[in-house]
Amino acid sequence: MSPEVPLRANELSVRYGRKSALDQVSLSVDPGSVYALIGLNGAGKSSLVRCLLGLRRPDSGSALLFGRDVWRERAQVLAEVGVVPEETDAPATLSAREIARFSARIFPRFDRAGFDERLRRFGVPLDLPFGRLSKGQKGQVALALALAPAPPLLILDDPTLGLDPVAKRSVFEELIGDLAERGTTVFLTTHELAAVEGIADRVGILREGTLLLDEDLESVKERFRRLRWARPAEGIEAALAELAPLTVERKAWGLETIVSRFSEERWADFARFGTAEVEAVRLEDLFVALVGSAGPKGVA
Amino acid sequence: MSAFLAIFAREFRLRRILLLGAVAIGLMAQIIPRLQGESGTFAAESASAAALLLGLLTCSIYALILGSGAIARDLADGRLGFDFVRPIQGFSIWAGRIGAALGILSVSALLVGGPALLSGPARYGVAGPGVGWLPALDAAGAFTVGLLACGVLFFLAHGVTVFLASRSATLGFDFAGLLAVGVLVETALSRLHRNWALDALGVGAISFSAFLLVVLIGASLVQILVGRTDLARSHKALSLALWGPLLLGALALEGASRWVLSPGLSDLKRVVTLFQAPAGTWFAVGGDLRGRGALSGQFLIDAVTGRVVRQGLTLSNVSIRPGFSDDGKIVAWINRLPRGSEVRWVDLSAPKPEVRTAPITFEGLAEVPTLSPTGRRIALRSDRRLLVFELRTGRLLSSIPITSDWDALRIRWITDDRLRFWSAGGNVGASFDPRISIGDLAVMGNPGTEPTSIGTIPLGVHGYAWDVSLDGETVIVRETGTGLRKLFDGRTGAVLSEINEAGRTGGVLLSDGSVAIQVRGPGLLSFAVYDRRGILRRRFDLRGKRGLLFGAQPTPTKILASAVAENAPLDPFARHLLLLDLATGGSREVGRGFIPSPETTISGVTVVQIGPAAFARWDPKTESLKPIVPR
Repeated sequence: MSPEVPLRANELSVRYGRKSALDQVSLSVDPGSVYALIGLNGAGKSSLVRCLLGLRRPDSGSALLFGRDVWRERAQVLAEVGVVPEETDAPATLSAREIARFSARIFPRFDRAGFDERLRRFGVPLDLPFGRLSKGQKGQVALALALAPAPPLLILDDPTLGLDPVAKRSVFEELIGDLAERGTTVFLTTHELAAVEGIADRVGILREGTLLLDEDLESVKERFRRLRWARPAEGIEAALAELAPLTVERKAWGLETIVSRFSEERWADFARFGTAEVEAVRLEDLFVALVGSAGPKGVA
Repeated sequence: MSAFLAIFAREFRLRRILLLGAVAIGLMAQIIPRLQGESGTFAAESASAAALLLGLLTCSIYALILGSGAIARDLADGRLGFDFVRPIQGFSIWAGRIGAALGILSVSALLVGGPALLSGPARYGVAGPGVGWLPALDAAGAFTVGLLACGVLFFLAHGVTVFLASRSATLGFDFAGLLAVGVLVETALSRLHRNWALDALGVGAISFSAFLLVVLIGASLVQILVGRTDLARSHKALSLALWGPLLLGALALEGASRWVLSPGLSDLKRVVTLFQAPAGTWFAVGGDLRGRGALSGQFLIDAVTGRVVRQGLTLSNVSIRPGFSDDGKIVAWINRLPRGSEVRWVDLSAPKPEVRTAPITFEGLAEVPTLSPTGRRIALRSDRRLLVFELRTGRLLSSIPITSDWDALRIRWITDDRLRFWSAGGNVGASFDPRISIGDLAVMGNPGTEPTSIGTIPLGVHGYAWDVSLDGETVIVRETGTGLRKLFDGRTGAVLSEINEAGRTGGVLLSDGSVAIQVRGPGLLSFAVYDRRGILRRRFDLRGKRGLLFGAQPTPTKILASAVAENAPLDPFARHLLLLDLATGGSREVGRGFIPSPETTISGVTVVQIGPAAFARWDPKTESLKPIVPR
């Protein structure tokens, strides 16, 4: 295990009573990369984030930030981490300026000017009590607070949840800007699959506490394909097993499948089944294929 | 440290509005008494008392608001993560939030109650049933106690908010913990209250409250360090850290209360009362106890075998006066309860004598318990009535009104079916005609039976003291102004004689109705014995000694007294025991010791106190002291 890895989960399990929220989840995030963890509501994303922030002790396994156990060394480790929580939770009666003043006493590198400038860019009033800001503005304050100390690692727990499209865009633009400037490592959970495709280096898909997929986005795009035959020859369904299909659907116009082990060499053998359309798979399609009720338990 | 200060400053700022409220209430307390037209010292004291009361009320309300709001509500609403996702130690989060809330509470208390500290009455008493034992507090003391109570309230509010917000299965554990601790504490404290251990009750209640505060503080810290932002885990950590120590503390309190109320004879550090049975070998002692505060222990001791029976406990300024049967085998006494009285008794002839409670209770006081010759019946006074009961069944046998004043009733049983009583009265009310009425009462089981009046003894108008001999045949009356003594026939009230002994005197009736008088004056100390006719039988010249005290009459012709050498200190254990021979007129020293508060001149054994809690038995045959070894 290298201490340079900014974020790592080792066989992390969390239980709430008899219910398992996370089942031996392992993942890591390389320096300067963006890791997007996606999953349905209740998949275990927030439980994982809570463990990664040292807010909850895992029932087994460990969560490490920069090689240090975050449960044991939470306060020291979080000096290097910016956090955007799922629910913005700043004191309602304090203004953004007052919250920044407080944060500046906690983070020695807190950039007050940068914080003010960022909020002006977002159009968020600095002196209005936090509780009177709109949900989008609260999210923007939370992001500005997380970015102001220039942390090497950002952890964002569904930062765009409940935001309007404009606010969502501003969050991702700000993230992209920060990434471009400083090469910050980012771990984020989100439902915004389209946005993730634009910025993520690596993606994880969580279903019912189990990590179904943990792979570089490039690799995902490489090996997952959507295939369509208008009039496939007999025996195609048996042959598809070689490409590890996630879904196979017979439709009025022919057959459609999403496969998880596509390669040019294997594909050459399928010419005998007739002409086919080959499409790259969007993350959303892949997510639906994997996490939908009929989806497989794992594709690694 | 900077993180703690940052959180402290933030939280203080968030709740500073409460300080404005406190200022407004504080001003109100100062202004209202003056608006009502009061002025000067009275206005200042009214304002001070109002400030103290309003301060207590305000702090109680603030304690509830701040206690539930400092951490618990944010934890319940999921907002505690704002601090926990920042590089701040859990301790700093806890200390910053709690410290700021307590700071607001303290400053508010000062703003409202502060004037009471400066200009209030010197002391604030706490009165009322059950809490009258609390000492009066000065303003600073009252303020401190109030603030500590608010501290407990603050952390209780915190805990309850967490419990209710979590509503997890741990609540069942909380209810069980609360029930167990509550029952233990209530049992321990009410046991102390019932048995007059009021000092221990105070110390126990205050100690447990302080312990509760410490445990609440510690548990809330453990909760934050272990549970962090997880409400269910926080609740679990809080419950474990709370109920475990509290249960141990409650058990310790329960154990301490049992220890306080079960003193042994070895815990007796100073004997105050000693009562000897008229026959047999038992005697009763009572006195101050080691480590029990103002609690007096009462014990029955067999002078021959050393066997000890614990009679009970009273406040140290209240003695238990037992009544013995003629054979000294049954003893009964009045046990004072916090509300009312009851009769307890012991059969000393049983192989294992144990204290029993007779089915006889009173809402008020009962006094002068007197057992019939066999010990089957008990006569006593309660609520201005002379009452007679069967001891074991509690059946009321007689109930007659008496008009005697406090401690002005003497009862002597003649047989188990008949008693005689002497009741002094008349020195209160419109007619000033003080007298002792002598009555005979046949105890035949009909409570309505009237007594027969058999005589009266007129009393002087200048104050008097009087007593009746054990056999009821002689009454002695001493005029307190002149020292003149008159002897009367106890059966008829007829005058027997007058004794006019010079000097400051004290005296006691001997077994045959003679009177032993200690005559003290400048350069004068003697012991004079007069017979019932007022004729001097003996005078023992005891010059060279002082502090003469009558002790006992171990045989009809011998008297034990005690005194110290003229220049020696009046240390009770420096006293010389003197044996005075009525037959020969001789006297000699027979050891060291004395007999405290002698009540009877006739007793089965004569017990001499030879140390603060050490006794010896006078052996009339060898005329020497035999140490009593309790077992």
